[in-house]
Amino acid sequence: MFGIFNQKKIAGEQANAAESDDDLKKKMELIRNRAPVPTLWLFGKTGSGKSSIVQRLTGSDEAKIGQGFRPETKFSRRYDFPNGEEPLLRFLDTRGIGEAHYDPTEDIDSFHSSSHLVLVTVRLVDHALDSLVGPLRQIRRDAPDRPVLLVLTCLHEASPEQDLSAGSELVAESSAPIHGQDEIDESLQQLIDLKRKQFEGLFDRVALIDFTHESDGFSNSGFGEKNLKRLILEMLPAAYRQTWAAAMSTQLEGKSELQRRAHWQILASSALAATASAVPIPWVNMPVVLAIQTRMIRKIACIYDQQMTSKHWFALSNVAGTQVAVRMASRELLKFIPFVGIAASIAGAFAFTFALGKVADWYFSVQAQGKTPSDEELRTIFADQLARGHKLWETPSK
Amino acid sequence: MKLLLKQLLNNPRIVVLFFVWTLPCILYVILGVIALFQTGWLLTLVWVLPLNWLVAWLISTYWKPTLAQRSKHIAAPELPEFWAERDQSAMQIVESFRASIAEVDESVFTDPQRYINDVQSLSRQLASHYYRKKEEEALHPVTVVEILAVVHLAVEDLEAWTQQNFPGSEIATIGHFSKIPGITKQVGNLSNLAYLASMIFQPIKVLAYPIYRKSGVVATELRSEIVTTIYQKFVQMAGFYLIEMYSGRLKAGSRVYKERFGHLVGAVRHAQGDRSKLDQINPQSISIALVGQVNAGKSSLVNHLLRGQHAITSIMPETKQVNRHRFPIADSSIQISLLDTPGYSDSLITRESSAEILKGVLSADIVLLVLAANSPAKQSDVQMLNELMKHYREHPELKAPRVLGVVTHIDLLRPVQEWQPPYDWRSPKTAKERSIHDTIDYCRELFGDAIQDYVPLCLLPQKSNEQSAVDDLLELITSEVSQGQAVALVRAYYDQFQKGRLERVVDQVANLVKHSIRKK
Ligand SMILES: Nc1nc2c(ncn2[C@@H]2O[C@H](COP(=O)(O)OP(=O)(O)O)[C@@H](O)[C@H]2O)c(=O)[nH]1
Ligand SMILES: Nc1nc2c(ncn2[C@@H]2O[C@H](COP(=O)(O)OP(=O)(O)O)[C@@H](O)[C@H]2O)c(=O)[nH]1
Ligand SMILES: [Mg+2]
Ligand SMILES: [Mg+2]
Repeated sequence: MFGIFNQKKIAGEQANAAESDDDLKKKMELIRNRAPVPTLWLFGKTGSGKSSIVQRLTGSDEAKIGQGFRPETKFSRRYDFPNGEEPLLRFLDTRGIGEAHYDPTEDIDSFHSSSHLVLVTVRLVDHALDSLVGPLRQIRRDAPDRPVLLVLTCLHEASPEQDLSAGSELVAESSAPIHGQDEIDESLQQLIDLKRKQFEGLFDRVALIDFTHESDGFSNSGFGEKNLKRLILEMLPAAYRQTWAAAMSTQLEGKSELQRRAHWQILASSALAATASAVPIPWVNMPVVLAIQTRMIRKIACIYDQQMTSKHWFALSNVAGTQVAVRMASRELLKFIPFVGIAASIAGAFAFTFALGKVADWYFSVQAQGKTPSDEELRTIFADQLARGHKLWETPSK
Repeated sequence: MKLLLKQLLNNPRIVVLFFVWTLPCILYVILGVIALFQTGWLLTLVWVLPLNWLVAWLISTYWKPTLAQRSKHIAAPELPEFWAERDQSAMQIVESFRASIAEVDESVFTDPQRYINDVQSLSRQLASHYYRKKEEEALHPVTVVEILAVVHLAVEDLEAWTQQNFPGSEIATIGHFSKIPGITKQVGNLSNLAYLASMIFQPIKVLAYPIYRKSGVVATELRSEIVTTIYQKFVQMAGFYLIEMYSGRLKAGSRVYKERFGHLVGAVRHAQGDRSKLDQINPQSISIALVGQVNAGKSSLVNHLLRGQHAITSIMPETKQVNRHRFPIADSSIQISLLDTPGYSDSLITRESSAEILKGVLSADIVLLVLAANSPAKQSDVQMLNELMKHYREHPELKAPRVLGVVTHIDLLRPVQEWQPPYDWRSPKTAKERSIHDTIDYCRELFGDAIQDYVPLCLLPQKSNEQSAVDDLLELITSEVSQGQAVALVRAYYDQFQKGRLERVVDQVANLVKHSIRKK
């Protein structure tokens, strides 16, 4: 799947690139701008659960979630996940419609052009919506083709006696009755119908969720999450689906904080590498992909609090099963160019970077415990993860 | 002198009491004089009395009371509950005017020009306070009838006051004003009488008479102090009614005013701030408006207060128009109605509904703002309060109702699944108590002074509150009733006045039409 390039050519190209960090930076910027980063615009009243969604989908604590009685998001902002250098997902978190002393027009203007999907968050039992419906109408008028997903949150408020989250997720297809559980409260259906009426013509599909905090004692603090992810996938423009699918594919529950951070870093770097290899300009991608991989490994080492030494570089590049070229370049960025094996295809670039990241992840986590993994172990992991990487990047079926 | 005797004869009780009280003193005096006479010390001691007078005279000459001290004799008046803020600041103008009045002598009351002048210049100052225009133009809206009404009312009040402070004096009308110097003369007469009496026991005092005459200045001074006090009181009273006049409440003439407000003013003064006495004023009806966003729990609150299912509550927006419910509260003759309004902020709300809400709020004497604790989006509540305050700023003659915050849905605060009242949110210890406490804090931050007090409640019938939370709310409402009554009274008065004026205009037009038809 991935070809091995003529070493000489590559070396020449690398030398060129290494000569100019600035040049590389420019190229990276180019790639970054081309990367299909799914951008979700969260639009809803304050306390309706915008930040909760970001947190649930990313597992990151960056988005501050309120206690429910005071607006917690002080500024509207663009939130690149996991970071601005290798963005995988992008959230536009609006401060909160209906919040006292806040005028949303400016935010609406600045978010308007840069999003692929609007998530309108509404608490199911909240009918005080005039502050939301007005601006939403404007947003819809400005971009009628951009999909809008109506996310109805806080379901527990509608059924105080029953813990809905104990059952299977609820699905509400457009204008059809909700299904998913055997016994659904009649008032729940009424409320959803009312919401459809209140937002008539302003949304395309509906998701039902309850992301109430774990400590609040519901059976499932991610109720409706699966369905939400699926709907987002289906509604995103085709070009962005792949990234979304890859990002949402792994269950992170039960993983440690460090493992999670490493995982997101690997996914983000792999996706960027895939973008880079899709650039049709010959030899632009090459050093850039290498730079992305190098940076990824550095960052993983950093996550596990490990020093990057040539010993590590050697161990990792050796394991990748490629013709090793540990090359002592003069420039910092490309001081070690570990890998020569580069994918010819986009999926290959993704999978290769992914597998490499996973190996590094495992390697450093073992190192952090004071052990040294054997080459054999590393090699097995690399092979497994390579296959997994390929699967991840397969075009998701609609 | 004659007056004093007449007064004493009319009141034998006082004579008897006076006699019984003073008998031992007189006895001691007589015995003392006899004893002194026998020891032969009398001649040396007899000079003490005129010496004291001399000292008193010297002190009074060189130690004059300052104006400020003098004006302290009169306490600032208790302000009626129905006074708007503008009226209250007007009273400060009256007080500083009164304090600036220099010493006056008895002649002031026999010289009507003097006090009419003073009332007029005070009225000018007040007019510019009310109309914020140049003083000359300001007097324009005041009629002669009104000035007379003011003086009349002030004198009426003065009567009660002087009788309290100077028993035996009668001034009930302007005609009696000239009697005020008479009261002070009695003070002089009294001291003359005392001197004469003392001469009986002390013949030698005859020699000291010239000094006594000189010390008569003390009595005069005392007298002019009394006059000044009474006059200042008059000015204060007049100021009070001028304020009533400028606020427009006196326009319909002093009789109606007395009927409508008199008992309230009187009651406030009489009760000296004890509001419970106000409840005894003839029964009034007041209305309490429940406002808030849709589904905040307004209808639930009605049911909660009335202890039953009176209003339809629903998880869907249900209340479409303003509904009135009677709300009897224990041991009170006041009729209270609860106005359940449709919630605002509903995107499907009709224009009529919005108008209904506004009408309901503006006709309320107490406003309960129902706030859902679990929804931080409170911009529309802030807007509603601003609207309310704007209305009362534009109608400064009306008294603004008090706004109380009822914070509902506290059961849904975190931890969400916990509901085990009682919760002592004022000094929070558990997580739930902290949530409630912080919610109220946030509301305070947001609404500031616009909301006087808060009660957090869960209104879901399935989840009962502890008794004390319910009591808290009832207590709070009850304590606001007298304030609400004052609001209602002022509003009713203006409504009546406007209506009366309209009727008069209609009558006049009708007469005119009839007249012209007949002519043809
Ligand atoms: N997202 C979400 N939040 C919920 C839900 N149910 C309860 N919550 C709580 O509602 C509050 C939402 O706050 P936040 O996410 O900060 O809302 P934002 O202001 O829209 O960002 C938090 O206290 C959540 O724990 C739900 O179904 N979805
Ligand atoms: N959990 C909970 N629900 C409440 C509370 N107060 C009202 N509700 C529910 O909220 C919904 C709307 O209440 P309603 O009184 O009709 O609101 P209104 O629109 O303001 O009149 C109803 O389903 C009530 O049962 C409360 O304190 N806690
Ligand atoms: Mg937020
Ligand atoms: Mg209602």
